[in-house]
Amino acid sequence: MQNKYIFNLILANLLWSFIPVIVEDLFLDVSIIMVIFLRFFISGVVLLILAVIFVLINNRMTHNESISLKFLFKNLLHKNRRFFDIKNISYYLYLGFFGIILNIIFFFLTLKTTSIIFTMVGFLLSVIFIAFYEKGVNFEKFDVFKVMYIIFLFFTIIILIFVGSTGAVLKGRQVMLNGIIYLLIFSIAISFLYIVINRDAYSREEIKIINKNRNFKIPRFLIKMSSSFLIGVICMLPLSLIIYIIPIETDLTFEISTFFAQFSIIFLILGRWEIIFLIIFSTIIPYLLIFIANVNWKSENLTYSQWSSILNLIDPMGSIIFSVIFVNEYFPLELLIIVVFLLVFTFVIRYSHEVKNLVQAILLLKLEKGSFNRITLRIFKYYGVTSIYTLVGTYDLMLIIKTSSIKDFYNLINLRLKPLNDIKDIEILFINKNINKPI
Amino acid sequence: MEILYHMPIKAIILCKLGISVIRPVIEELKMIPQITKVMSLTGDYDVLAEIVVDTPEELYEIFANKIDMINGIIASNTHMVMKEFNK
Repeated sequence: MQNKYIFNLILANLLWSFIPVIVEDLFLDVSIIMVIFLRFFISGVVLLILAVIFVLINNRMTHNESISLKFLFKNLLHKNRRFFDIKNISYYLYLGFFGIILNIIFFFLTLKTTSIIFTMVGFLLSVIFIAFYEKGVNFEKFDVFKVMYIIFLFFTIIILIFVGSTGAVLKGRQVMLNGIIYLLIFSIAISFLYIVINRDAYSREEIKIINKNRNFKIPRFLIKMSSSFLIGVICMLPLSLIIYIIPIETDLTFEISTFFAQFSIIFLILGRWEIIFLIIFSTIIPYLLIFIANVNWKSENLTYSQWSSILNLIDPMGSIIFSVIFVNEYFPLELLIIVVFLLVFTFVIRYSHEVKNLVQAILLLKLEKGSFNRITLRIFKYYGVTSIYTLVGTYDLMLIIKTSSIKDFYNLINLRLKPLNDIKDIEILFINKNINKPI
Repeated sequence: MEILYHMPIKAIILCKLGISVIRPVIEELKMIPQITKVMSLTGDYDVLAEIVVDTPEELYEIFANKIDMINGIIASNTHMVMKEFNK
């Protein structure tokens, strides 16, 4: 295996895929809003504590460059260049509330009003939504692989809708308009999460620290996710109150009123094994696994975010299989084999699509006299620049570039680097083959 | 005086090759233990090799006795790496 941290992503997705099976019985007597509140509030607090503990251990027990907690929290007020230049705290609010809380509320509502199999349609729809978003916004070409995987997903969705609707009827639930609306909102919210979660940019000061101590990324990620969870949950509470006051009866109003009614037995609910499982094995551990993968990612082929988006398909596939095995969800065996085959094939085609579009290049730069210090860290912040070597010789800098499309590569060269007056000359060398040997 | 501590020296060697020699040149470069990375490129240079050595003398020895002796490399351009930044 080229990169052992791919297993972290696989394991995290497998742990997530247990969620529908775990919550199936839990929703019989516990409000969806209560489950979300406990899961994300406690996980947010635990991740925050882990970040502080990590920093203290790093500063006291290792010889690594010390990490300032004050600096980590001050980062919340820095602007995020890759997300409309808004402050990081606002970015975490969008990520936490729209990407995580809203996504999970409607994911759980779909699960409760329809069936596990029908809900999995939302994951597959989000893959299609993201493909169209990338075409519209990033002008990514629909190559043969992309068209093929969309067609495969389309057929999988048809089978899942058919089986999921039948399964819902067998459980005494009808797939009504409300279930379809919940599914669509869930798909849109999860697409938003996948698009926005990696739109994070390090500041110049953070890059300096990362190059002295790579471990800085770990508390940085932990604080990002804990802030997103906590801000998302905090926003959910007043909004729940507003929905509760509005005199329109919906499934959400029922869940909110149950949530307020169950507040007195919150510790009793917290003691249930399903909630403990959701917090530890479906939130804290998967996020720690992806943090570790992200920090240590050293793939010579695809980037972390590309692998992460490819492996997202494991989550619905795992949920389908586990729901059939553990909670006897209705799924005829022959159709299950076809769906698994289609999803595995989609996975392979997506991988081929990403590899085909990957652009790897080396840029050799000649700089103006006196601009060396000023320009190196500035360039390093740009998307696509994975490494910089400062050189003695004909050229002053060597940049290793990895972008997911030729359009991104074009943007980096023409919109970012060419306008810099400090760069005298750029030599572009595309990489055909990359052979690495352990030192 | 005994040297107690040293930093390895990293250098980048950019090579221009003749026609139809890319595979044997890459194979020969891969055989050199101090070469940690080899890239086949398109552009002004055809191959990039990253080399990590302990002393400048070792770099000279490898360049003069191994890299310079590889048939097919018609020109090379060596750069010493001062500092490396990784994301």
